[in-house]
Amino acid sequence: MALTHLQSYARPIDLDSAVELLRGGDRGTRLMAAGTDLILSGSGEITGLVDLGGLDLTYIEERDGAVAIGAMTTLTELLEHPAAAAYLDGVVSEMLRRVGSPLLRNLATVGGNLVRKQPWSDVIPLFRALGASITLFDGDERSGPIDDLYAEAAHLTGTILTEVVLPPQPAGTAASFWKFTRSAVDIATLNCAALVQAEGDRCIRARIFVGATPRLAVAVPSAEAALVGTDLSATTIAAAARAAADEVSTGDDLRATAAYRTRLVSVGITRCLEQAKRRLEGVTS
Amino acid sequence: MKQMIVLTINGTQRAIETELGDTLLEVLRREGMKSVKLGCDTGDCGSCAVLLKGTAVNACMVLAVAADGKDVDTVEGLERDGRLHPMQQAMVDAGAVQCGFCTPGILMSGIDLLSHNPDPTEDEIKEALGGNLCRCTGYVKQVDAILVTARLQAGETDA
Repeated sequence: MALTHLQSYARPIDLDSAVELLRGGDRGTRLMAAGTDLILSGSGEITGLVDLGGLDLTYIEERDGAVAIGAMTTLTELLEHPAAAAYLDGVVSEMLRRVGSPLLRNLATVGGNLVRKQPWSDVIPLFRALGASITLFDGDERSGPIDDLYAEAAHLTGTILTEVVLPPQPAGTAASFWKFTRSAVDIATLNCAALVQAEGDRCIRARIFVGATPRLAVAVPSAEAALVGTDLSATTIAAAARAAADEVSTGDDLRATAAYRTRLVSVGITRCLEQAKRRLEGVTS
Repeated sequence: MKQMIVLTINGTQRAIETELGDTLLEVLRREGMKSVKLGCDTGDCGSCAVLLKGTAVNACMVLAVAADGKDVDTVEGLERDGRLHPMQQAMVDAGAVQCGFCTPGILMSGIDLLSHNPDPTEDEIKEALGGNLCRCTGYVKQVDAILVTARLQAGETDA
């Protein structure tokens, strides 16, 4: 048995009931999307589950350049959708192809990946770099930046993530994702995501995130600052990579030492930015 | 805590009593579907792969209660009128089965692939088998068997 202490299970068909069940449950009651990560956690603390699988949260809609993704959409459904392939040179599909295996991607959901806040998530750093927004429901619906989910003060008890929206990106914007793993289907030893916007030769906006440090993905403001106002030359990319390696705090675990990870930060940021620059210049691949 | 669920396994509806915390893998094996292998139990090896609503998934990563009301297909349902499924036959012909533990999962991944991509490239087959570990072979013969199946099925459609 995977969840040995489970005493109640419900699959509500509307959001209000889901919130009610979640609030009415005991302290061990959790929301479940596909459940892949919950089952792996095998937690004896989980006594009740509110399964979101009965809600109508599986959809992908293109809205004026934005891509709205229902929280229960699987990683495979997003990976195979033309909207993902069309968004910023397919960077979302590129990232998703690196997550686990097809057998897992066929189950795991976009919303589950975002709210479980696993340090090794590949979706979190990229979606944060892209400046995604989210919709939450706790009886009332509210929208805000995806960064709200990861703020230290985030108070999300009794709240359901219903949708994530990748915003329309201005012309001259490119993004990229880089991941280092010990084997093709392993979780990241380290990952990076970058978004850059240029006007003419000058970078006017940069968003850079590093994940699996081995802690949850963080923004890297010093690397962003090293890029804005520059021409994204090899020299400025190297400066951004150095700034990131200095700023990002890394740690040891079974996959790598802190020192090794710091080296990966530098390599990853460099490759991410080189790729983004190639995309800005219209070079595909 | 026990609960009744209904699964349609290989086309036959069954009412099944399960513990709330049991995985689909555990329930399927209790129901006699011994092709569904317990390998890693952590979503890494793919030897428990089944089709859930037509899509290949790790049965160890699904709670049985969450599969209530859904269609599940396993290798036990592949045979037709005493004849192996073309992909099973292709696996036999290619010599793709050694210890056999991974074979059911590989079949389910391969069948899912051909259902939405009837003419896959070798690379697409390798990608589709990304979650199925085989410790005996080098995957070459399984990939060959799936390619042969695709060609065979294309031939049948053309004819």
